[in-house]
Amino acid sequence: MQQLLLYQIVFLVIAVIAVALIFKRFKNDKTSLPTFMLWTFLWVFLVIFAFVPHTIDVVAHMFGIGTGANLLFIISIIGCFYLIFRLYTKIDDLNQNVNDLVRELAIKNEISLDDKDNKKD
Amino acid sequence: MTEEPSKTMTKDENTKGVYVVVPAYNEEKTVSEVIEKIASRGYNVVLVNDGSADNTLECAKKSQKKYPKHITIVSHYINRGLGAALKTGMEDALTHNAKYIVTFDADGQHEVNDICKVCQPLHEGKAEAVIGARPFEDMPKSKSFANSMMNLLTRIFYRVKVRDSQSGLRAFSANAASKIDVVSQGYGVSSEFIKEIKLNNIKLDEVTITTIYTPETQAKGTNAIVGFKIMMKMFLDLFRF
Repeated sequence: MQQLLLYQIVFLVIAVIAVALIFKRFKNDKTSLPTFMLWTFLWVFLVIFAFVPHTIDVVAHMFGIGTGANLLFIISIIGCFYLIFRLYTKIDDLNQNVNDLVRELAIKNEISLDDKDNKKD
Repeated sequence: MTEEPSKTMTKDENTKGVYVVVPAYNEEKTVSEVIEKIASRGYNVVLVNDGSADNTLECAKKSQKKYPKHITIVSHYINRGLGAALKTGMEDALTHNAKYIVTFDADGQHEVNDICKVCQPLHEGKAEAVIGARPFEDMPKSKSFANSMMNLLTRIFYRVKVRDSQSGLRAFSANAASKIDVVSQGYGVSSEFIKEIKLNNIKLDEVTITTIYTPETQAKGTNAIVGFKIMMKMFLDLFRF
């Protein structure tokens, strides 16, 4: 049997740890099933690519991309853009939540010296 | 400060149920004068302190002691921007059963007499939302250019043609105010008001108002950078659903 290279062992160990961690989060209901599956598939594919490097070239050819390395770059860039978009929407939502909170507190703690208005909750 | 006190009584009909929302962020120099002038005419004032770092809140509280029946203060713990401040003020005014809600800048650029003018179309039932349009020829050139560009952008993005899309003096009926939901935090809110007016099929009217230009009013408002930011915001809002 072909001897394992160091990077393959490192990849395998990282992948096993990553999948174990995401599985733990999934078990504790901190991660949804689609997210868990997405990460698991991602790591499985990465391990396959690490152990059988030419498979990435096969996949790249299927998409009409020259080399496997190019495919990896493209996927990474798309992944980064997606993450930035997700962060943008998350921050936007958080901002809106803070707004709602600050606005509600302001209205609840209204400063009024007019007696009839002080009857507000 | 308490100019023309005699008008307080005579204008009772005009001021009844009118709530003037004044958003203020670091306006300690002008806020007292502005809200006292409004309150002295018999209008109800909702001063929204938007997390000011200076003494805006303290100044407002002092003014409130002079006009306890007319001034209400709501205060954001942290700065959330013009849009959020206006929304808070309008919501608070609605809890007081306001009939008409007027938004009025705290930097002293608006003329108190114009409140009556912008409310007129509401009184007459001609419109449910009124924008006080500042004559552009009175503006310094840079401001006039920036505001004209904003009118153009408002027209392109929201398909509404208005004379002054960035004016801070607006009036709404309670019904219209309850329908309007603005989310912009910064100055983009002015254009967003117009978008909401159109989306909710609210009848809009414009009246010409006077603008007082002082160093304070010059420092804030729409300039080229703010204009660019608003344009980016309008563009990003196209993707918001």
